[in-house]
Amino acid sequence: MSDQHRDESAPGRNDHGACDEYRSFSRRQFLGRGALAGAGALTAPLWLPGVARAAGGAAPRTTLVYVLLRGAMDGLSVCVPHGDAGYYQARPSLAVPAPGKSGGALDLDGFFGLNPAAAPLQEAFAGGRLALVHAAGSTDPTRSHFLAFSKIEFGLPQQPLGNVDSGWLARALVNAPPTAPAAGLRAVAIEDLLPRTLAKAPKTLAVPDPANFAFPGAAFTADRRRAAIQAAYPAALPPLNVTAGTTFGGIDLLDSLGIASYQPEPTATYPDSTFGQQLRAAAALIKADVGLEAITLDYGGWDHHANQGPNGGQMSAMLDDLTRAFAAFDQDTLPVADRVVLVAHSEFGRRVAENGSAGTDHGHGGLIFVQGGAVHGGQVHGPWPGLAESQLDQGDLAVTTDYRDLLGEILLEGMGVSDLDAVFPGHVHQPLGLFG
Amino acid sequence: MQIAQPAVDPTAARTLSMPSEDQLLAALVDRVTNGLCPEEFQLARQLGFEGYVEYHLTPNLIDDSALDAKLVGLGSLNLSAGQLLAAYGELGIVPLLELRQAAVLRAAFSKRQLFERVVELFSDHFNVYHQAGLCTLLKTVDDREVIRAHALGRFPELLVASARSAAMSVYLDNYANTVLGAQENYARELMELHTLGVDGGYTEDDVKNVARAFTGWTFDTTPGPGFGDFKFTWLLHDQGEKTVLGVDLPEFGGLSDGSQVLAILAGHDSTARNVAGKLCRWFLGYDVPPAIVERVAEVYHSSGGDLREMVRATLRPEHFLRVKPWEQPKLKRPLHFAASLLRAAGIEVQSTYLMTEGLRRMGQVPYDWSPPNGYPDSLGAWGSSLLPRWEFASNLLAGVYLGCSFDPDAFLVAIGNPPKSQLASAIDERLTGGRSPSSEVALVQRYVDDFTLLTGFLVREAVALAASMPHFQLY
Repeated sequence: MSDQHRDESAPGRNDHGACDEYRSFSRRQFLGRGALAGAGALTAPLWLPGVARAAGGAAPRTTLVYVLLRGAMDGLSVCVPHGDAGYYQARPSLAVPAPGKSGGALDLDGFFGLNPAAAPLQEAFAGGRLALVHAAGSTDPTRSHFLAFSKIEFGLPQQPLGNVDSGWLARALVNAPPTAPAAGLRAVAIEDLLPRTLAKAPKTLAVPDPANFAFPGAAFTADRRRAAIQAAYPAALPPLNVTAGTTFGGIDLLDSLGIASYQPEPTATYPDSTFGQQLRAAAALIKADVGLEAITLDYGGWDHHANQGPNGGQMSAMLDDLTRAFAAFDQDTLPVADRVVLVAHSEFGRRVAENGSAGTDHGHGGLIFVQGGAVHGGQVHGPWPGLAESQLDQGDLAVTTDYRDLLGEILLEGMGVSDLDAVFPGHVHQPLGLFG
Repeated sequence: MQIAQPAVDPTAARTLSMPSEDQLLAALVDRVTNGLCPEEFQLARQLGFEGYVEYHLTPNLIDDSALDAKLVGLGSLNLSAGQLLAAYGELGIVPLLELRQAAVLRAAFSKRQLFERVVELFSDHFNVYHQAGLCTLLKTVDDREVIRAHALGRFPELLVASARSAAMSVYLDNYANTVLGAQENYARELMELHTLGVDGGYTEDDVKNVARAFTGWTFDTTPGPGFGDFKFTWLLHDQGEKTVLGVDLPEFGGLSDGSQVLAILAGHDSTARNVAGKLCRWFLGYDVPPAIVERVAEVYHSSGGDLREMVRATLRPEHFLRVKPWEQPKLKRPLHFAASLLRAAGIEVQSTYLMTEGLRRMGQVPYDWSPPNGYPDSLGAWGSSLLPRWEFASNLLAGVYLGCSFDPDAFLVAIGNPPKSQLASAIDERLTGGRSPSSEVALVQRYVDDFTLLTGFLVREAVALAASMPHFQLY
């Protein structure tokens, strides 16, 4: 290895000779961009929207925040179809009462209502920034968590899994020109592990805690240790070689942003929970405007086979946490609302009939949350298939909206993807009209 | 411990290159243990490939008193569920922390390394999330009496033990599966994960019927000596007729409904392939030729699901020559990475309490995977996260994790007191048997060369740096 490799990580030094992955985003470049906006130095927080765009000149683009609610959330207990008599027949002990009754649903449109534990969603819904899509999900018939998620994340419900090794979001990024070509990171998973949604994605990194992502060890030897590691990894087994490159880009980027000192908008109060803090970090990353196109998060634990609630039980505390975090994110991203879309869904919904242990088993159709300034919100979208026995799909809510149609619309309208077939091969796109 | 590399003939086609005997043995030690160390490698040389496998296949003959001494202070490990409840209450924080500590100590310091590797595999196969309600107490019993008791025993018995485990019952809700309303959580994962596999040939109707067969399978919840014991409650069992995978279970089958289902599943060819596939992936590689899996699956049938026989059939020299671990390495999972560094650096572990935060940041606290499929064993899952590994190595060697101490002087003695100019290669010999690419060793040595004196600080940093290099992530 040449001496050039030893120097490439040091701030402000020449980065000739580094391979492309490593050169793509150095601290010097980032600081240069900050200087353009007048922030100037490391000490100035860069919560200055528009910085990257000013430098790169690309058209405004949507950042997708994609939350997978692992474990199969019971959509019927969140967006309650109180106008469907079948709901109360199937859920003698688990139903949320009709609006007006004690513990009753918060009416949305005369047919659907919110679980009281999801009350924090009311503001964004009333403000037209939150849409709910019911009876939605993957058309694949599996009721297995793991198979359903594999197919959803790879984005190819009809194909055997062995033929696929990249996530749908990864393919979307590959097929869209970067918002900011110089950006070191195009996508971040605020999770321990990179989800399959982002498998094989360019310039993508798992960052479990964006406020705590620094190169370790004694400060006075850090540059030299880092140089040694940085020089070794380009030859490492894939994907370690690529991960190392994006890791160093991420370290520098997050160091310069100082997420730990980020101040949300005054009206945004995030819960102290892990998820609340992760969404807070997501908002910080988006508002820093450093060219991130997608952020993924993972909120698991919705597999409520027993003691589900929904009033009390296991689900309501989780729902309260989830929706307070969504509401805080809505408030916090209001200044940039037109270029943020949050989508959250599960692998499938839960069975319409409750089981014998005050819970529900695996079902089919589920609920998708879509929140953002450009969303046609304030309504519950999707044809309602009904809950009468004859209307069910093997005892479950039918799927009338393919999740790919919803995501496809976001990709086409806001994320610079023009060839949807490259993302969801073989799928005939039927836009829902949620945007535009 | 310098492992001889094969003679390189630049004119020979790569496919013709044969590994040296030492390279083959080192690959075996890599796969059988949580990290190659001089003692294990010498043992493998002395016993030969098959002799070394046989040695590890009879773990009870291997003296493990040094580990036992480290576990003595963990008083909850040998208690019954009733004793655990009485001593620690329902929250069970002490048993949870002690079992986590035991998992790390056993992975790193047990002499029965192959046994521990198999235990880890089946802890994931029959995953129980430690923080699921009473599992903070009950996983201690499940670990001891289900996983460890049967890890090298017969799979059908392991399966039955798991089905009767209170921890599994809590985790997958089977205690709440009754005739008043069946629920499918355990039934589905039993077929999808524990036995047949997702493509193993069952239907949604099978799931429903299996759930009915296990109605009334629960455990004693009365505080006292019987707490946590398996219990079958007749009144809560669905006595109707059932059909599972084409087999009729006549009405009034009672307890035998579930037992019959377990027997049907344990005898199914899909189960044999699923278990064989897991073993092959675990020990041989991510992409094992189907013919090898088939051979191990046949041993499942011929031996009645004897896991010792299956492991023996997996760990064959001809399989290693076929999958070539030296060319197709696996990525250490975080716990494996941590254990291998504890072993190589000779870390003294008094407590893993603070180290657990490092494991958490790497993504693998023992028994802390909440979905029922267990921690993944794949390059894609773990290959996207490196910084937490570098951080773990740095913190461990720098003494940040109180309760884990590294003695630079003792380490220098153990690696033969090398001069500063040879420090990196001496460390590499200790960490990898001298198998890291010379470029990686040179980068560590260049770092060492920037210091004028060979200090304890430098040794700590150099070992952490070597452990952060690509080669140490692999096995």
